[in-house]
Amino acid sequence: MLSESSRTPGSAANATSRPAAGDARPAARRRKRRMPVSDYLNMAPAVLLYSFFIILPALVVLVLSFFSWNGTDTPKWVGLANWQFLLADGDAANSIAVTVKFTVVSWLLQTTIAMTAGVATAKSTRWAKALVPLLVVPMLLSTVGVAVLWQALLSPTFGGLSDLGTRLHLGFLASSNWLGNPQIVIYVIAVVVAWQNIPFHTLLYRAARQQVPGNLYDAALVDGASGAGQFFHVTLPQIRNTILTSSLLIVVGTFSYFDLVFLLTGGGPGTASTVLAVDAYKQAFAALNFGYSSTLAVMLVFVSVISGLLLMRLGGFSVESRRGGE
Amino acid sequence: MAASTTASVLHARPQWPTLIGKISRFVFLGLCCIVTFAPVYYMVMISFRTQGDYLVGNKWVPTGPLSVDGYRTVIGAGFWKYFINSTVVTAGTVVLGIVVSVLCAYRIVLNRGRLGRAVFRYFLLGLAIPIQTLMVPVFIVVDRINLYDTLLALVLVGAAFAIPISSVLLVNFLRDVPHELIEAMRADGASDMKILWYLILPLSRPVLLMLVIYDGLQSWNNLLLPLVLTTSNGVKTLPLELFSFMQSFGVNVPAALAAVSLATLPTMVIFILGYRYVIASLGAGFSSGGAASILR
Repeated sequence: MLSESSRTPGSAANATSRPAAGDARPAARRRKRRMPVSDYLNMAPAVLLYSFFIILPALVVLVLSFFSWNGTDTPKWVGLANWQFLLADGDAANSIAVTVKFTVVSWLLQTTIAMTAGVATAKSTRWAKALVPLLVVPMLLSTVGVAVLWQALLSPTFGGLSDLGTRLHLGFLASSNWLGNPQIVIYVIAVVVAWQNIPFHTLLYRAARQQVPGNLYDAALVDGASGAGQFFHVTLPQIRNTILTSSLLIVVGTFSYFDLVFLLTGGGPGTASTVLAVDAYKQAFAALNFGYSSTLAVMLVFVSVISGLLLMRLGGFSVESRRGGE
Repeated sequence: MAASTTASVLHARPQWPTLIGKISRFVFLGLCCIVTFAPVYYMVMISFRTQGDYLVGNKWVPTGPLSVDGYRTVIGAGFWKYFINSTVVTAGTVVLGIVVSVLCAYRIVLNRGRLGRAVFRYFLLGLAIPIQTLMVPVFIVVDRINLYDTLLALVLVGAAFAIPISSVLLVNFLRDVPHELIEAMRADGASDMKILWYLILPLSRPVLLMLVIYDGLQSWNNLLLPLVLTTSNGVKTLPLELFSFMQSFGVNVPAALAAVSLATLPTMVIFILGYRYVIASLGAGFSSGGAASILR
């Protein structure tokens, strides 16, 4: 309800803002003459805090990626050596492969389930009443909380899942060492991450589906579209922006994902679940290669920004026109 | 609303028309409910069992009498102290982050010139930087200004990380405030701060509430910053305490799960209070924020 009402004036204001800029300009000039410093004064705290604790560290990371530094000695300029090493580094190649696998699986898992659940509950108050309050709980748990809980569930000896498997005589549940098997560990972590993240995306999809005008479905019905036809020809195109937003969040978020991997396995067993962010962390705090760790971090940021921009381009979505494509 | 009434009249049959569709929907959503809820049930149920009962009994159904031993262990380990630390950090982060973001976003919207646009783009940049890639230099910066191992450091850095997303969402929201209203108040002689207080803030209540909850959750649940920026017990926050419970895992699972339950309780209460607004503004804030919400 609220979201609908704030969207409509939004589009109206957007549409009129360009012609209105003409008559707003004299006022703006008058204001500038009246209070020249207040603009800067009001913006300053946010800009300064942000510059000092985010942009400055980001620049430090960028600069460090050209240095060799163990944390105590003076950093030594090594030029592109870190980057050359990165290209030849088998461990980094492994981390990239694991990260890509992790990202693709996470995207597929979260998008399909969240979209289906969101669309399926959008028009049903009964299901919404049952599901929506439940969905909120995983969103509220801290990542450490999720890790503690799932470690208790997945533990091969005293875990809840193996206990359930024994009782239901499901051999694979009972005997799987979920986090200790290098073949499956990254997928298991993807499932845990999905458990935590799907609720949020379900709510996004649900809100989007609720905003699709009902008469589009009437038209489709008149044209003889089946349930699946309605979904593919009405719902999907109408919620395109949400698909993009949600995918962007998932892809960029997963590519640089750290928390649950670090907490559940620390990247192990071996390097089977060492995603890039964990690799960078280990390089810094375990191997004390702060320079090389920064190189990995810079690559991480670059790739996630590029994949984000690519996704937005592909979907014809731009930052400036906030509701483009609708 | 009117449109959907006509729709329901027109739809003599339901949206997923066939019986198979209905059944598969029931199965799918039922599974969703179970998979979402079962771990939460497990957490709360185990947290009320004794360790002996947990180790030998059926894991999914309590076999012995319920006990609060786990909770006693957690509270005995200094839970309230860490709870207060977490509260201070979260409150500080939310207040500082949102106050400076509101001021800044308000100016960005008022100032339609180059400066506002530049600052906005500058913030967009921050959305693309994952927090975990900055831990080393953030540690160096905090150490240099002698704030290592203080709650203030957590507040300042936490607020800094909340600024990009808060400002961008606020700007997107405030842009929708009709400029005529601002001009009208200005014509009546109201100062910019008066306009902010009497017009902008009341109007942006939904988005502010959402930001309080979003930024608050991020701060309350943050592990990485306290892990890197603090070391002593006096400034320990709850996620860090959960982390130490986790590292001594296997020793006392019911207590660890009791700690998680206790730490989640406040967020639960606050969320239930602000629930309506959050669900409502999810659509408004995030779907129009679009690229804005990269940060997670």
